[in-house]
Amino acid sequence: MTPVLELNGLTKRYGATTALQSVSFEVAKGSTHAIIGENGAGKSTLIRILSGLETPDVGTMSLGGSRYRPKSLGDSRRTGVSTAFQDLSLLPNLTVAENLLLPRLGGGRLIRRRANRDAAAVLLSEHGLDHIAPTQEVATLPLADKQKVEIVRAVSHQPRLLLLDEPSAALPDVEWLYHLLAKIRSDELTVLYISHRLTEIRDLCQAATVLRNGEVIDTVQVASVDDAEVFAMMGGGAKEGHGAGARTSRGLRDTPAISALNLHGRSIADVTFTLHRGEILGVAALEGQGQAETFRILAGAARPSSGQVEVDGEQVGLRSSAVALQHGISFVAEERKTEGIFPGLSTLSNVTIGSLDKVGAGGLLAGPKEHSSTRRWAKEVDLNVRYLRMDIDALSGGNQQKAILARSLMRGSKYLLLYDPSRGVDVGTKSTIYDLMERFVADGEGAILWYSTDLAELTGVCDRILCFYRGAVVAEVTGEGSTVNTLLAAITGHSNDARESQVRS
Amino acid sequence: MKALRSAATNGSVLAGLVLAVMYVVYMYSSVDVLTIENATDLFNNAAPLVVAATGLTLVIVSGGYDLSIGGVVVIANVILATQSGSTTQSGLLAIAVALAAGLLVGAINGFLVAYLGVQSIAATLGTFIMCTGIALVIMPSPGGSVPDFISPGLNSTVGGVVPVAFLVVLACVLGWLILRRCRFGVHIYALGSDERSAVQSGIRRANVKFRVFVGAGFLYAAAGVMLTAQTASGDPNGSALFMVLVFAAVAIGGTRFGGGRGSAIGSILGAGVLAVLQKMLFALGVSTFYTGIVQGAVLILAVLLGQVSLGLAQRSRVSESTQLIHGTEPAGPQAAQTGGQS
Amino acid sequence: MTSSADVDQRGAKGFRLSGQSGYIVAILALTVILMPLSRLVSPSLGSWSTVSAILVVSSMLTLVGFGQGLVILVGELDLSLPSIVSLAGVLTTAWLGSSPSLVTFLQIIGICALIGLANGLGVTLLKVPSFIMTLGTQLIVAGAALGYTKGTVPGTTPSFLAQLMLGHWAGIPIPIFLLVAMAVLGTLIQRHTSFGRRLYAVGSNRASAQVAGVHVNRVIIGAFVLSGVCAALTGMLLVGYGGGATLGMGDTFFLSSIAVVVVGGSSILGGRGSYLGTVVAAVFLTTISTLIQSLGISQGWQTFIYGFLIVAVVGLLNQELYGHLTRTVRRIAGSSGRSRAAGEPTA
Repeated sequence: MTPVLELNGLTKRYGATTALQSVSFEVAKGSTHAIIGENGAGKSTLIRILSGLETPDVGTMSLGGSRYRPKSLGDSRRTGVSTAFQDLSLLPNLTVAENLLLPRLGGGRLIRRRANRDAAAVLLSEHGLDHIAPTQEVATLPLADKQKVEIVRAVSHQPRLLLLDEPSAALPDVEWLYHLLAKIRSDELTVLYISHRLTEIRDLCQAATVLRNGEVIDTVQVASVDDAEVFAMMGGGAKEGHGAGARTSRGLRDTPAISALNLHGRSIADVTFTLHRGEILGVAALEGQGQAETFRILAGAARPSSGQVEVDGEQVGLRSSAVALQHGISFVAEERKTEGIFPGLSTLSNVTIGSLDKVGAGGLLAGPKEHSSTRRWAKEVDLNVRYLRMDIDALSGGNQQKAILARSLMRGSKYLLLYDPSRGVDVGTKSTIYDLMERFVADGEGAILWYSTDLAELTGVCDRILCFYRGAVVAEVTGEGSTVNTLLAAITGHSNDARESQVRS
Repeated sequence: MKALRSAATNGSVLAGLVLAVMYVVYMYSSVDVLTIENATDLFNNAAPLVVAATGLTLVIVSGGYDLSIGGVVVIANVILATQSGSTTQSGLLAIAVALAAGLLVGAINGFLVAYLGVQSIAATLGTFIMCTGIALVIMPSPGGSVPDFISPGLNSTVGGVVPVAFLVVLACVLGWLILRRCRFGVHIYALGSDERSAVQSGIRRANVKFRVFVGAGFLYAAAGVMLTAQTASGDPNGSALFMVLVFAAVAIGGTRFGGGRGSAIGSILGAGVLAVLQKMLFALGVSTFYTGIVQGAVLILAVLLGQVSLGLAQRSRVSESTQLIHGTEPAGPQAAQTGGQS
Repeated sequence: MTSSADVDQRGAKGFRLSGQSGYIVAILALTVILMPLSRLVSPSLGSWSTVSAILVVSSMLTLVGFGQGLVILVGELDLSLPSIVSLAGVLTTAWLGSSPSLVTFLQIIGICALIGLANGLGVTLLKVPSFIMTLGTQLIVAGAALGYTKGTVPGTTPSFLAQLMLGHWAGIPIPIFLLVAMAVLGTLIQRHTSFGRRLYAVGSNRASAQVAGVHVNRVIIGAFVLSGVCAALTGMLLVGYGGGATLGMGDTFFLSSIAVVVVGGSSILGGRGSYLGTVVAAVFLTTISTLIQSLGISQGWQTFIYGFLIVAVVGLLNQELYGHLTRTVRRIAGSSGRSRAAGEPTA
């Protein structure tokens, strides 16, 4: 095989964290090559390096036989590499046409609006996006359309290496993507397909490189491995039915802990359900189906346009997170970087922030007391006490997540709202989190509402699972019915069918 | 209906309305307002503020702050006051030197912010102090003189009808409109609204930021030239009030201080509001002792007005879209600062 | 194979040596070295009298720097300090000068606290950017002071203030004790109180603080109120030191209050910094200006050098430059043939 792309010993560090360690593999010309890995495996860093946004600390790359060392995005584009980013890079206040044609915008000094608009229209129509007007502001597009525009933009540069980072993440149907890829396929075009959706990879790719914790585990031919082997390489994760046996012995009660009653909001309509004491209630959904807003309403971080929330059977007005915390509700948000940790502060401070009155008196904080009180909670979440003194930035994603959980525990909250807590977290920490969750509800007092994008882990740990689709709860899955396939069918809007092409892992 | 709504939420339009209202009040409060003399006088007063506000708008839209305005203005002022001799030629040369100085300071700011990654507040604070120092070196005490060509030359009219200052303001307006249609203009707005996406779209962050500061420096120097035309002398101590008024003009004009939104047209109208305000207060007999209070109040009210219009605009945009949105709340009050630094 | 344990292993080494404390020590060392060195420039410098004069002046800068520091810590900026200092000074001579009383004293502090409250409310409830809000307050308060005094400042310096600022105790000027007391108290407030901890949290990540149940608005308002109070106290001390009040007496603090916080190692974005750094920076900057002044060069060059130093310090402080340097060093080290085993800790 003639490799068009060769990576040799790529290493990238950010301060004390190593994102990539000696990554080496080859990509055959004209092929579609998958990069598989969980969040935190190093995929994004790899993309950024290949796109010229970062430079590796150690290691080399070669493209088409010559040394490839882009110093900017422009460099990578000029060399024939084009990227569709996972965190979409469209400018919300510019039009679709402007976004598609950035940065050159039709060349020359002055922008020719009409020419640009026409050029954009041609581009959109070529790839089946006639319904999008070139003059529309990107901010008004639904997420799926934004994803499509991002991909079309990358394709429009006619690259020889196309990088697609989780291209199907926001697409409810992947047909469009399959169609596009089939159309542009040629011997001159190589595609790097970053994803964790095995079915898509089997449909589209010939070879795959599996990353875990920043290292290459192996590069394989897709046809010669089965799913179980891939899972094992990715780090195993929660296999279906993990800990299923322990379910029945817990103290699940009938007493309602938190009730959502007829909640309406920007992205939800008439959401009603009850979380019971002693229960681990799972939530399954695709991106943007209203689950985020529901969580935030229950956490006091957002207001519903109508509907009520009851805690312990009494109606409450959750005006703010502080009020929710007073009612015993603790929220662990989706992105710990933006709504979780306090960068620049010690891990100890990160844990105690919610319980400052407990580690001091009269507003004064006592150092030794703060430390000793926190040790207990650190042990509870299996966080090495040594880390308490360090800056939280120095910790891995998994340990940061543990610290945030310790914060909620230390606060003494009864009810936990966990939004994708195991994202970007290593396997060991995931296991710790599951154990923690089970212990938390074991006495029948605590309760957990848990959203995860990993359907397998939901089936393994939860009592019940609510399925969200288009802003409403469309299914409630328990016991025998809680298989990954059933969940998939529900969250994609199919009640009984589980279409092959939609299977996600 | 939609056009009306978008007009109502456009900061520039609001500023224009305010200006119109104020001018009407002003007309009632004193006679002889609608003469060429009076108009020239008004434009002369407003010109320095207009030009400086245009420069500051560039920086703010790109997501930065600039505290060096006063420094560049005072350097331009003292250069003219000491170097411009007595002939038109020497005057022109001095103006060229002053503008070059503005470019240089802008380049230093740009280098610090764009290439060294220093926060724009910190960097421009330092260059501001350096500039005031240089100004004192050039001219230790107030005085100096400028040739007639500059003063009252730049404060008079072309052909007895069109004030030179008006042409300067017009140049700023046209210049901005052209910029908006340029690639550079789009890049500035992109960087200011979402830097990460802009970089991932291929916009060269450092290059654009650098040029923004250089352009702003040039404009501040030009403002200094127009200011010298007013005072006909040099004062190395400068005016702290001027810098505040420049920020006020930009705020009144509806430019968002986090970047990505706004327009120099609004800032220019805002500068006009402040100029008329000053005249109005004087004509109304308000003691100069209290102008400070009024200006401060106007500044805050202007920003509030800007907030309201931004808020309305955002709400109308959201209701237009039909998407199922992630249920995330917009970022808190720190948004202005977080998105806005350098 | 790397595990999360290895990753954190590196963290332990990476964050110990560099960072804040090292920087503060460096500045302190520089200051201490400069003082005797300055004797080379002029024999009168480097003497105890100069050092004590520097420390006395620094005490006022440190006090106003504390307030500004709190505001910067939460990620905002207070540009109204000069007018509050001047207002407090004017009210002190006008009201306290002839008949000093605790009530009047509290009234003056109270008025300035209210100004801080207004700032805080404007920033949190009205969502006006602090830059603008405090600039507006600055104009209003300065205008009010002007209007109140009609240009001439009435009253006399209260004797207790003069005694405080110009007096000695055990041979050492009293303000130096104040400086030390403030350093201790300020550090205590920032690092060892719940309020201080919340300031850091809000400054570090406002969204995280919100989710964690911190009353973000109260914290920000508190910072502005304290800033106003500190400015008021500074005005009073300045009256005692300078023997009177003028309408522009606070103007010098406009930039120096920010400079002293930034040079002291606090990030202008908030969430990072220590008061000790501010104190050391205050002494450092005052030393520098004294030194520059005695060089016998013109006022203009003095100011220029002062500004240049600030630029140099903030220019060198930033992460990008540090990152460039370490990468270059690493590349040089790497190219000299040393191989790196997986798991080997980074420098």
